[in-house]
Amino acid sequence: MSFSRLIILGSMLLEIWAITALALQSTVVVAQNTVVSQNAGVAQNTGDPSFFGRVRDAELRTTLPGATVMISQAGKPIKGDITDSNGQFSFIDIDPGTYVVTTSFLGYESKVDTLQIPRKELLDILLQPTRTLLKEVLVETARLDANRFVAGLETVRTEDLTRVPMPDVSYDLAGYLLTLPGVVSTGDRGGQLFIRGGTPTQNLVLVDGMRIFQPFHIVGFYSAFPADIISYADVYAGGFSARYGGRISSVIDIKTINGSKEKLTYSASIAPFLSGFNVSIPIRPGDTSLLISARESIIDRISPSLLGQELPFRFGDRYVKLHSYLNQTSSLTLTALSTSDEGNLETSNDIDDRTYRKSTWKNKAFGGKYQYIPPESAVMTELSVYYSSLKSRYRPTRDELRTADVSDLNLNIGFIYLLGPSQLHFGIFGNTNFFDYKLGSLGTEGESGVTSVGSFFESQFNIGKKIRVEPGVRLEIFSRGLKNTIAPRGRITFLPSGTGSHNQFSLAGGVYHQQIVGLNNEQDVSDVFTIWSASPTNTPVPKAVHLIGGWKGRPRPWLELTLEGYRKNLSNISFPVFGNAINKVAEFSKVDGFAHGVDSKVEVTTQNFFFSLSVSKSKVEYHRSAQRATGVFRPNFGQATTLDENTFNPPHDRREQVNAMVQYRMGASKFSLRWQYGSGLPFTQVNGYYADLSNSVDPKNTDYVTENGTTFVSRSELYGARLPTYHRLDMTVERSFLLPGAELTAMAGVINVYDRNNIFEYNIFTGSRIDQLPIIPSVGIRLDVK
Amino acid sequence: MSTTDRPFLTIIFALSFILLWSGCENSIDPIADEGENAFAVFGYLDMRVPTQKVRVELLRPTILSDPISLEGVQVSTIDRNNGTFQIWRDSSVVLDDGSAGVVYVAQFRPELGHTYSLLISRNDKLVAEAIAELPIKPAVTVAAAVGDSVNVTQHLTFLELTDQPVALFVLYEVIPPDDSGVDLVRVGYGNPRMATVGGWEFDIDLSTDRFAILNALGLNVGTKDVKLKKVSMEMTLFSKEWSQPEKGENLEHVLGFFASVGVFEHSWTLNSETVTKMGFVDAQQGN
Repeated sequence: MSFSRLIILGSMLLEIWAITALALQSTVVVAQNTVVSQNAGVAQNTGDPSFFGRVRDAELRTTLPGATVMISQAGKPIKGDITDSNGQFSFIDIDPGTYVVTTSFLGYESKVDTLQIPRKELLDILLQPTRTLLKEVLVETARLDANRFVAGLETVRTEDLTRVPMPDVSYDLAGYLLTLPGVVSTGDRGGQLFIRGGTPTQNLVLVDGMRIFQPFHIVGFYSAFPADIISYADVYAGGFSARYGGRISSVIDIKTINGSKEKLTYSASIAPFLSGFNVSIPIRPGDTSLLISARESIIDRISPSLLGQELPFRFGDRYVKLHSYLNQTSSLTLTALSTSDEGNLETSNDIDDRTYRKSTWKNKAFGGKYQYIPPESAVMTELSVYYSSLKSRYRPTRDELRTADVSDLNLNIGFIYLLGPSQLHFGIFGNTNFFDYKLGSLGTEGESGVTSVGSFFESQFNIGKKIRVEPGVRLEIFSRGLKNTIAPRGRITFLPSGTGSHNQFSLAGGVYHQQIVGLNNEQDVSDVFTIWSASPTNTPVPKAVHLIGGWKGRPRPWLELTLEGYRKNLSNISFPVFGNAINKVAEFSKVDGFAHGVDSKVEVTTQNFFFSLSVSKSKVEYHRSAQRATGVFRPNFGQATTLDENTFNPPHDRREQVNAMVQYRMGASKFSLRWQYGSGLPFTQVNGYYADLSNSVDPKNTDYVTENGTTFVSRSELYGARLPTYHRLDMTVERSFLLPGAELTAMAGVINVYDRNNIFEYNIFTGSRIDQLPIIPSVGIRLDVK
Repeated sequence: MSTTDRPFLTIIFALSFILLWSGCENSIDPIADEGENAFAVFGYLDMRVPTQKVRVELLRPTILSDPISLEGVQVSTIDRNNGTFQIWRDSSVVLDDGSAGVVYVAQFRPELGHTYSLLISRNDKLVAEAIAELPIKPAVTVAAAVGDSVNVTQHLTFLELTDQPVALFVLYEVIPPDDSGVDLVRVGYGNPRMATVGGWEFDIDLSTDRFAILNALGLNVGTKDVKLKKVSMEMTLFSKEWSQPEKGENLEHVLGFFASVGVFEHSWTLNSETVTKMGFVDAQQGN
């Protein structure tokens, strides 16, 4: 099928759905009008509508259903309305006065009017069709509604990132994510995030659509990409929509900014942890821009003199984005990202640490997206192709190297139909993963690949002015495990008082599948070396069912409260099984389980002051039925272990978590403070080590008592103990100086202010303990030239 | 700072200090409580020898730890069938790599059908126990021999035998033609493989055994005057722990392997006609 035919087919499907949705919406609007009339009857007791009107196309004079009409006073939004199927709108109970009315609609120039209220005459608003249709559409599809509340979703904006104290003048998404309720981190080292009961390998991280397998640097509060390039990030802690697939726990969907198409801008920063630069170049002014960003750490080189101890971590990232409006109806985006991390996450007395016990990983991702919107059509077409890979290396001993590579090729064709406040999204996709691993002395290696293809459909529409519904479904065919899946998903938002409601309620849920699994040695949460592989053959792929309910209230303009409860039912999860033998490839068992909890957040925002406090209470539990363990890498290799039924809490089951942030601005100065608390994570205690003589004891061998045997470990109850609690205080002070054509920012801060010895890893084999970062003073400067 | 901001700051710092106070615990206890008195034992009770031995080790907290002294540790057995109690003696042994190990030994020969508890005490407190049940003595039925002179066989059935018999031998006491004395000839039958309801069964090939006996005595196959004085069988029995050594169901608060090896003997009398068919002279007592 040719691409043009595909576009036509997609458009037709969406047109059919659009008609259906419009009919539904019209029906609902009629019902709503009835309610409005009744309300109007009530209102007539106190007065007529404050004003009413209609919105029409200025050239064709046709009415425009779905246009947005906002009224504001002194720059402050007062109320909003969406035009009905006749293009009409109305406002009641508006205090008399002078107001600004802003009317906007996709594909039209926005219009601003000033009028006196009350007004008895119909306000006839004529909108001019825009000539830069694609740009409007792109803005519309990426529109950020600051007030929207969707259960499970946290939209992170760049201004949010600036509130988190970091050891440099560049902000970072990872640092902010750690302040979100329900997000559990391994800490400063390793860069692993567990989101509402999901493991790092169950999180989907997208940067402009590119899948990033290891999205965080080895120093845990840095992402693999700088905050400078982030436009916004949608963080779905669960209940994500049908367009996302391949992971069962959460989605972090990061959209980056385009470089400036008007003038050259650049910035540079220097700090011990991470220094970098960012430059934006207008290649073809007005149409094409190039954005380049690079960061590199130097902490490993200066930590001995600065801190008096080794911090053997080196990391960096590079990002390039070319964005071009090819013409009025199409655009092209080319993106590339590469990251590198290396360091020693373990304890070692070896003097040659640079080549001993070292973990490294490298992400590479690149691809492009073409967007096209045909003239006189509201269906935008997207074609995207992305490739990404992760190469991980782990050196358990000087002479042994274990490798694990994974790559991902992803093709998407999407159609987005914009219909006033409604949106329909249909897409087809294909995805291929390749795996290649060699586990050194463990004697296991292999190559394999899996493929999935499918389609998704999702829509957003209003039922009246109080309910917004977002149903969707994802159909996917896997080459492994469960062959065909139908995954329904959906969200519903209820606004008791309509637009501008102080209280919002939301429900989200869905069914999720994951064909590939990331396996690591989950003896505790600090294990980083991950081997990606296909899920075991002849068993269903891992699956999750999410249900999230939440409330967001704004009782005062400066106070925002959020409360969410969630439940994730998990099934067919591959979980490692460790026997008594040491240095043996773990076998895997199939476990089911759940994660549930309550996340709450309080935010206070005034002109100079910001405070947020999030408190989470959660529980993750796995259940393993009696079974025989399987070898994922080499099925049926050796004698499989017989496993008894067991229920346990996995190593990321953090029960309580608190994050508090304060920021106070005083002129050009800014003081930020963050305190984190997390209850202890589970780990498995040992009873001890012994020489096992099982292979020597033989009725014919009476000399067995003098044989050395093999060292075995006896483990206690599975994850039956807890590590100490985690807590840390960070603070920074910043001051900005305006220079001609530039801004200079100086920063001083302290990480881990009270030098808490938070445990990162306890090596049960050697009895050695490694802590997270100690108290670290830091200074930095940043220059932005615009 | 505006006056409206002060309450917020107060709240924040108060909360911080409360939570700080609650999270000061920072130690980790990697060893489970039950690990402090956890032992590993490897050995078995063996009816074949008069001295029993087991190797005992107190679990070490890390791989790198030196072996822990067993001072204050006592190993003993009690025969649950007759109450016989015996304290085992500790002795140091040099392991293959030159390091030291501890082996406990006791002088006794266990009995079939008896149950023994291996008790490990530390500072006079019982901390671990391993149980070894010697295989029970089976009931044996011996069918009449069948077949002609070149193919005489006899069918034996061992009932109430739950443990798999291994290393089965048929023992013949014979007197050569020169009357030089009684010779014992052991003919191995390997592992009987025929399980039957409630036991095991197998066939003795008497005709073939004759050739093995003559060969053992250094006589040619035509020798006629060899006297058969006694026929019996000896069977080694392994306790059930040998079939699944990783299970350790007989171990309480102790790791490793503890089992038993029993030896069962049974004799019977062949009728004179069968002895004649075998080509021997019947010299069995009672015939």
